[in-house]
Amino acid sequence: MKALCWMGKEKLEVQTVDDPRILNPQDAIIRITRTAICGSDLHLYDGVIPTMQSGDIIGHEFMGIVEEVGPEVKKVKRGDRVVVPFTIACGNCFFCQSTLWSLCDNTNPNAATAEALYGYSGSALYGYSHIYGGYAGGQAQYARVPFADVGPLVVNNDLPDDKLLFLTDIFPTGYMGAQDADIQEGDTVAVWGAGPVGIFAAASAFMFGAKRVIVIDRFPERLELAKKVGAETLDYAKNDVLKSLRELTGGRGPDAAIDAVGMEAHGSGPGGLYDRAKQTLGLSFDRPTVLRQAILAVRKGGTVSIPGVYGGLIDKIPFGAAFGKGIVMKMGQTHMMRYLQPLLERIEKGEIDPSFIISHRIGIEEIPEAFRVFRDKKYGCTKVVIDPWTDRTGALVPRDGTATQQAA
Amino acid sequence: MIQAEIETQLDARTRLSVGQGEPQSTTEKAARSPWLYAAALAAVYLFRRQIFSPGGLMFATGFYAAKKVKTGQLFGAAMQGVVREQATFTINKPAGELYDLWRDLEGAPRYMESIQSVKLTGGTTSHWVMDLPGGGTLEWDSELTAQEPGRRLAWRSIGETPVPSAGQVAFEPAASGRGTVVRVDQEFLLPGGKLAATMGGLFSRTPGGFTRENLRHFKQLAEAGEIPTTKGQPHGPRSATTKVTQAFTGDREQQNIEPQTGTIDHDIERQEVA
Repeated sequence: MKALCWMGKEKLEVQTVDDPRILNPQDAIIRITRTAICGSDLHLYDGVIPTMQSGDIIGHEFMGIVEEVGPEVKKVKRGDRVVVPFTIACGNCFFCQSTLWSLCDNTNPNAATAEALYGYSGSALYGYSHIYGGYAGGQAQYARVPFADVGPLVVNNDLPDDKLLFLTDIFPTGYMGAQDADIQEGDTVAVWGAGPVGIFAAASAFMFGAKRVIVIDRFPERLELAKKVGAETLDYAKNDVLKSLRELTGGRGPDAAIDAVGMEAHGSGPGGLYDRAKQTLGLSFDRPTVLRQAILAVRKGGTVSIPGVYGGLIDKIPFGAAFGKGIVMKMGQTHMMRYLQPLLERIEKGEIDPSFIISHRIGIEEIPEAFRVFRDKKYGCTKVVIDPWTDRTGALVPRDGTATQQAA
Repeated sequence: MIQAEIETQLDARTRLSVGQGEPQSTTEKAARSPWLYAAALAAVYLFRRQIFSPGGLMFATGFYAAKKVKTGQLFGAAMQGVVREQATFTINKPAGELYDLWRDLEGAPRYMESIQSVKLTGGTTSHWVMDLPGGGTLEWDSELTAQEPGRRLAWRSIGETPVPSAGQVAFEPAASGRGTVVRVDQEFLLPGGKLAATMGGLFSRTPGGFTRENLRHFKQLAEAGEIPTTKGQPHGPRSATTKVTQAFTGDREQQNIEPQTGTIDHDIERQEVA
């Protein structure tokens, strides 16, 4: 099959590799019909996630048709159309049974490595470094899906893939980001990052009863998406974020702050340069500009929710402010299996069509270039979806060379 | 009741005595030479330097400092005595079920790394064969020294063996019925003692690593019904650096599993094309 392989920092190649096989009795093999590039894949592209190995197949947002199941798979069967959540869970451990699915005890073959770095290991993820299990990912034509009766959501409707694909990660991730923000009816919520997770977090914040949502970014096409879901926007390149948020909230600060950016924030000023220098020198993995702002901006006793990914050590975090203001912080990989069915129902009822964030539809050979375009936010790129059975669509780079937005 | 003390002692019948492992042959004496380990460590350091330079630097500093100390003093202590290891996991299953799973000794290769086979040779005795890194096997006989159904099993090696070992596994109900606390204590008498154990970790696992990972696999098998693996999955070309990384940190951490099927049957695709 064809698959996207990580060959090093900013080096991706589409390679012909072996087809995946059933390795464990609860495995299934999925023929992938749609897959996507996630913002968190850009951390892999930029080489800031430790324990990647050259040749790793990446990608964790994919759906498709079940081709083959192992002898212990009871519910899912060949021919089923499934959405595959990006976290892998066993369903039987203390954490799975407490619906803390992304903290599953039993799916990471490299748990010892994760324990050395984090104390304890969370669940494995597809295509996201060896500390998270080293499982081959889904920017490929086929994928092996362990614990096939626990993770994949069987879909029995005729909605197109593009409307369902984001159930694999970014819609539930944004939704849990809003849920973790502990939003009360009438609250004002600030969301850093108008990427897909930030947009879904903003849309979900309204579902949880927020009266106002303020989305912070600097790319016009992304701020446009935020407006589409009913949010106000704040351009951090033109405004002082802390001062603006204070003014916009009547001097009190937002009730909740959501960091939908994570470890590679585009910091400005001396702090941003300091972080970038340290990351370049390998002294620190993460650039926590947004986290700092969120802690300082949120109102006293407010909640900071962090769906953005962090990988290692961070410093210059205003922990005194966090303590002094008595804030609550919640974070972590998404407990996907909590959200798949309820969010599917919202899509089926027509309450939300997640495909509005798609800017580019491409073929498998175009993925390496699409990473660069997505990372550099060129051609109005907000979300790239891939048909792995098409080589090229030619839709990545606009023919007239100008920024265009494809019809969603 | 949950054990309050962290350190568990093996019972008198099971545990190893320190005097048991005085060096006999030239090989065993060589295995106790600090310089052998210093040289191997230096070689490993040079090999790894390109990958983990800050750690390498710290190692080099430590090595230089160590050289300043009288070598015999430094290594002497590390090379004596029994290596004791402990691992604890809480497993989401009743104690009786877990005891029975462990008591099925011939099933041990399913969750114990590098154990090739276990054959029962009597009511309480069994013969174990372990694969060693780089080919070859280690074989020994073992006897059960305690069997308390639902609570505890203990064992020790019997007869001539290069690595005398002993151990026990205890099962105790966790607080509020949240599964069973399973604790394994193991003792090894390695030629070269703790230093050899640490060195072993650079190429294979340390005895502590084996103790812990085998118990983790036991938990995974008991709870999830299988041990997670990525061995045998597809990947693109691996660079030389990646191969070195894998040699030290990568694939040895996983169970070897035979793929249960061949390649994909592409029926569905063909139907669509037709």
